Amino acid sequence: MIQGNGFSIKESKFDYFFGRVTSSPHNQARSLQNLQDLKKLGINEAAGGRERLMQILEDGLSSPEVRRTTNDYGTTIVRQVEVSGAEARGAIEIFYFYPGGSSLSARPEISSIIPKIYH
Amino acid sequence: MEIQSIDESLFNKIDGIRQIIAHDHARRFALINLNDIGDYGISWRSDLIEPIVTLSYDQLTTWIGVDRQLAAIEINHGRISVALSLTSNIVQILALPSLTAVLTELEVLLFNMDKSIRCIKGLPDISSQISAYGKNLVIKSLEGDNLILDIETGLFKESIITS
Repeated sequence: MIQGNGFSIKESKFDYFFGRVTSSPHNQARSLQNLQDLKKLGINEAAGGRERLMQILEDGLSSPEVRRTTNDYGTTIVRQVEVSGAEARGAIEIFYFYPGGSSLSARPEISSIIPKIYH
Repeated sequence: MEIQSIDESLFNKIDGIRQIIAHDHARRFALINLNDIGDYGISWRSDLIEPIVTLSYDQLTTWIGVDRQLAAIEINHGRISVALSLTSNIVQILALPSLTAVLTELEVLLFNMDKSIRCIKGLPDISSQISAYGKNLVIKSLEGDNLILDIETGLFKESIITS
């Protein structure tokens, strides 16, 4: 588990975000989609993209909430950060997961992201 | 059933009621032809992802999902019986004799055959695949863990099992 400033994230999430998941055709396509969209937003893993993404994940903690779900495991709050790269402008939805039993002021874990490219 | 790519201007000419899946900031647009009941429009964001189209077990309903939206159309008369925004991206649709299971990255939704929601279960990690074994659904995560969900009770039967 990687400890960011105010959040934590499993190392394996970066495989999903940066195109390295091959577990099923759909997951592979989604992982490659994440890779492509993050690159368009200027987040290239080979050029400091992981550090940039970590900063965005930190920035997201104080960004607007777009939706929230609660289940048996805890609460997920999705927040959106606007991002601009050389190739495109867009946003990243970030899924902050707060385990059941912990308060929402506790340190969340990143469960997923959804990059969005604007026209 | 055909899925035909179209451009945004043509999509925008489709009656709103027939735009069964419409994402903001969409980059891909398509027509789905359901024979006697005509064409429906869908739009989505992910240019590397194709829509998931699955016929229900009784072959009376077409389920369509892509990115964060899901729809179900009753084939005999064209009624849209489900049009739903999902909380995370869709991964798979599985049609079974008694229900249809919709797997998203972080949830599994079970629909009864009348398209009412049987249950929505949150998942502890990003999912990869769902399959049926008797009265159970096995949900595999990207990490390789398996969750077993009893489709009769809607409860996870066992704790996470590492494969």
